[in-house]
Amino acid sequence: MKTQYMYTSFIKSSILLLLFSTMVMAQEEKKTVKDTLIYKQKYGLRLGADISKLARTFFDDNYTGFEVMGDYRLTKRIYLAGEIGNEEYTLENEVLSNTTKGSYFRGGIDLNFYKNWLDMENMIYVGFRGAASTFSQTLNSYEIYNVYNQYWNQQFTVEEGTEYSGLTAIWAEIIIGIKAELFNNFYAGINAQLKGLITETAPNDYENLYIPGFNRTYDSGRFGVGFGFNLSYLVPIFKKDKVVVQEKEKE
Amino acid sequence: MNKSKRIKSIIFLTLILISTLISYNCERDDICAESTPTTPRLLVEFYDATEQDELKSVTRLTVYGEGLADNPTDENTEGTLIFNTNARAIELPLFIGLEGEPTISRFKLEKDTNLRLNDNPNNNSNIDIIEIEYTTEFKYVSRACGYKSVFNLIDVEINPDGDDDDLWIESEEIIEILVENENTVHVHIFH
Repeated sequence: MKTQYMYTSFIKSSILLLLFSTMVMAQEEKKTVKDTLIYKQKYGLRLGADISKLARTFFDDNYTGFEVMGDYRLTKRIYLAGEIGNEEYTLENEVLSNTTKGSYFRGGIDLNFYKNWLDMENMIYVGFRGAASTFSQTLNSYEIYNVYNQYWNQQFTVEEGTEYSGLTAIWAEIIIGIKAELFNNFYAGINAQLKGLITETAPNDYENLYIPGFNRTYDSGRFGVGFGFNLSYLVPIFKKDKVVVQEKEKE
Repeated sequence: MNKSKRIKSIIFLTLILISTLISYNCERDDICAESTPTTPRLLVEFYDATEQDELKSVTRLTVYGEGLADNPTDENTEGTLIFNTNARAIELPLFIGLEGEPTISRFKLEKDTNLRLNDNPNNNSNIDIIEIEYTTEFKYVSRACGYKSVFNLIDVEINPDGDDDDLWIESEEIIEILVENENTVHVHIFH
């Protein structure tokens, strides 16, 4: 029963499909004319802030930070973009407590790959950044890791507070993100960043556990990741025409 | 068009939540792997006193930190590192003192433990005390393991109180002054 039904429905749908495709073919044979539309596109300076960092400042006791961002539209697709931020983060685990404080700058370009529909000015972009940070690390306390510490009934903790200052790091980033106009001139965007550390100055007998702007470092390599959610406002400076050519059916 | 904008704003609101969740998850603490070398133990090997190149095992050896155990009767007694075993080598966990300050760890090495455990009152085991003096130095390992302590040996002494007149250990020698890992033997004991 069921297989029989399946066969008949398959045959029916194939016939329908064939009919439909011939209809499409027929439509394409109709003559078209080109219709030119012109939209005004806004160019200017877009300024904003990373809301995720503000949210984290509010919810995470070990984190305080903010980031302001800006971009300037150079051409139809290319934006000059940059971020400046400041972060303080305390890493706390079973064996150590470390506070990193510092500022960073990220600068580069965003390339819009999204073909906007009519007058919309949204972005799906890939960004490239060069970035640098200056920071300090304070080793608040640490534990001596000893598998046999229970032997002498010992848990050796050092409360020290050594500050390593004048640390720097330079890295490069690839960003993938979207920005969309929610209201007039008001944008929201989200992005993910892949970072590759180029050079860093680390303390001699210690390491950089966290770099402002780069986020946490990994033992396994030079890569880092980041996420951002930003709200921004476009200050329009001038407008350029965007010409859209549409094909219309001839009546 | 307004409708599509509204949908977009809803998508963004969910993305805020996702991004905050992701950023939290990425801060997970790493786990210190067991294979990571951390604070080492002092490795001691027993050699023949007459034939000093020859390893010679100690019969029925029991080792424990001084003050941690007293005449242990089985291997489960707390503080017992090795119990009533013929041994060529032992590993001693050292007490971690303040960084850079001379610290002492003392161990009791009991030979022929079986003679104490039997009922014959005419024979007994032989306990020698070994005293190890060293300074500690703390070194960074990793974010998951924190720091480890390495030891700079100052002195290893048998019968430090000088009140034992029946020693089974003849002499000792520091082979490696810096106890940095467990890859090499640090002290030889001749008996």
